[in-house]
Amino acid sequence: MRESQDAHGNTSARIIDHETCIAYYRRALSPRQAARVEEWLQSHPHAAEQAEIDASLEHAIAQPLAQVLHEPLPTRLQFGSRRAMLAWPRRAALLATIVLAASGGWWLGGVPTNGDRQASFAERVATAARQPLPAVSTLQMLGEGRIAVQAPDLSARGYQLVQQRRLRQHEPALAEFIYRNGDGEQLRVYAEAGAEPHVAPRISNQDGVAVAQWRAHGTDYALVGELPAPSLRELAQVASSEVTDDATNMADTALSYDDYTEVPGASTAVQSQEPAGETVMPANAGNDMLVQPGQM
Amino acid sequence: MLEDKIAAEVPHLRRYARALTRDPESADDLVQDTLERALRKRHLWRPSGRLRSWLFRMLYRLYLNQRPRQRREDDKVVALDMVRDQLGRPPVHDQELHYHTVMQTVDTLPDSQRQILLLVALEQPSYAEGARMLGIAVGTFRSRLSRARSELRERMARRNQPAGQDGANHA
Repeated sequence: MRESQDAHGNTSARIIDHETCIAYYRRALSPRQAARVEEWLQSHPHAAEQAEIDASLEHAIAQPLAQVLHEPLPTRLQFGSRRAMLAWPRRAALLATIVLAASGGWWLGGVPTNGDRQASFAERVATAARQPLPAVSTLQMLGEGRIAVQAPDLSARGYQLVQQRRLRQHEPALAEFIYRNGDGEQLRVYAEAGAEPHVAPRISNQDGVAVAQWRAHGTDYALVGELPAPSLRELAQVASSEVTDDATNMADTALSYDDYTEVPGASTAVQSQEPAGETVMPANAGNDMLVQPGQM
Repeated sequence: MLEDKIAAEVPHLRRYARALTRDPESADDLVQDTLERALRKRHLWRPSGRLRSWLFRMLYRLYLNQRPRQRREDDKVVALDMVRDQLGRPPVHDQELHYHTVMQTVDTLPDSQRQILLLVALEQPSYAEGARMLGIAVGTFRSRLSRARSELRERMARRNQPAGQDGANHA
């Protein structure tokens, strides 16, 4: 609300803007302000009508969402709570620093490394998902390392693991698991060694590729497929729960595979169609893909 | 402590995210991404600034970057039942139906107008603060808001016209 004085110093000529008029109808003004605006509106019926309509419409927009302010927060958004602080924010930052030092800084997705910026996990997943699948059905993977990357079990949703491979052309390397259902629809799950805190599945868009991403027990996972976002989310939730449920066994498996170097029979299964920089292993070779920490 | 101040803003971030995405899970994903980014960028935060504006600007940028452009129109069609979602049942009372109709009409507005109108309806920022929250110029914010309000008024008026009246006016 602005007041202007005439040549005699009177303040009768007032300029009241639209926002102030709307605030009047929202009952957001002090009694003194409201009285002045009310007086002005009586002499400006058109402005009064528009402001009243706008205030009413904006109230209609806000009202159904008012309860969101009072909803209990999910754990993953309890930014200031001790529980959540243990769950992800500070610990994530601490572990991010550790992982950054150990693996080249992929976690921060943009921290300069050797003068270059590495793409985030989701960005690299999207890049990988755009590549056509190799025309092979049974291939193998050469692997060595100390971290087991577990392929999620999606059989409950009708998807069977048909291939798994390590994409070496990505830096850090990605593990790729390919699933197919009875209708021939394909899903790809990507994984790489990550930080420790659990992160629930969430959907992001990477230049048109919908990526459902989560983290469980030191591994970052992402699921990509030609499905609507709700379906992707549901599958990601199934996959993440499977991984989480088996986490204890997985840790044992990882330790027992310390000296693992090669999938039995691997050398006979490589076919010429394999893209450069990739190694693939048969799905029946087991659901744990072993990847060198420094390569992931 | 910055974490406590950020925590106090989370419900407001959720509400705007819910308005933008119309999907509770997607909204929380967006807020989570915002919080993670705020944590990473905390060294850029200046105590003299307005925390809510800083966080909202981050959330808005993430929303624009994450949302697939080709799916925005589809989202408008499938995500109109916010009133039902929020209330946990289909809108049955006149007031709820009115809310539903208004939100449907808001969703017919251009994205840039819709996003500003939602922000203003929920947070009632000043022009300057609203512009900071979305990272746009004050003049742009003001003009888009004015157009959005004008468009919404007109479209609501057209919806409320009795059938055939529009044609009669043009005849």
